[in-house]
Amino acid sequence: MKRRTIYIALVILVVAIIAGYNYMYQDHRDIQKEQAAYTGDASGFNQLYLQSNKETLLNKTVVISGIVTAVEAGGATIDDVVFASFLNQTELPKLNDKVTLKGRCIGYDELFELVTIDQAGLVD
Amino acid sequence: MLICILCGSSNLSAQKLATKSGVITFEASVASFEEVKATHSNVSAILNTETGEFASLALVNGFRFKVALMEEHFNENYMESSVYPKTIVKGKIQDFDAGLLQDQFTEYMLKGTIEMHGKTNQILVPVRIKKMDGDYVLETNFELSPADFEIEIPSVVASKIAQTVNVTAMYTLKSK
Repeated sequence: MKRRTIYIALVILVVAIIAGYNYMYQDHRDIQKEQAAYTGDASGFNQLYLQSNKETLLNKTVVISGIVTAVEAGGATIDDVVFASFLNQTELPKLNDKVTLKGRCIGYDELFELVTIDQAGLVD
Repeated sequence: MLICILCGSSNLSAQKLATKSGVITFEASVASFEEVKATHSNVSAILNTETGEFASLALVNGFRFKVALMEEHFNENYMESSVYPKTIVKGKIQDFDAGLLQDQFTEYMLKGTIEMHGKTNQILVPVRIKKMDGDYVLETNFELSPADFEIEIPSVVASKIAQTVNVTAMYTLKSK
């Protein structure tokens, strides 16, 4: 009877340890697999971000479409209002491309007056 | 507003250099405990080569940690990035002379302020600048204390996070 209790307690302990470990070392969010909190064009997104309470869009996944107005090593500027940093450098679009991309909104860059998104990937 | 100041004359020496892919890494690890380190690869910066004015902005959400949970705690509990989404450094590089820059690093002092977690503190840090293939490379290394920015670290984890945080920044500034 006592041995059985110990055995059950041990199983619970092992399960708890595995669950704890999985919680502590959980994977990073896969932005491309998430549902977007906003879908629309870059200008609309820029206006929405500047007018709304920041918390509604910050750290949320968004889908933006527009024309690429600038490209640099880190990412691309869309419609002169959104800067997107790409997860995969090979996906970096070319100037004047019409793109739709999905990324995570990380805030407003007041030096360049651009709403910034990171972990961006092209959406077909 | 800062951009208006920097959009200056058409004088060749009065260039506005910029980047949106500056890299900032900070580390606050304590020996034999888990690594506390994060890197941000999308830091913005602008340098006015005529006045030596420098500004850099890092959106807190952009700091990436190896451990996802640590990143979550950093944003939600320590930096409170939903309330204070950005970190800004604004200052002036003392005695800056763009004409004297070479392909070896020249050291200058950057005097200014750093705003983080809603608090602003003065900073005076050495920066190394050099010219490389037409771009300007700026690097700096300094220490910050979380307490100076009212970043509260619970006593439970205080021993696992260093008292001072080592910050390294590297920018490749290009002319617009």
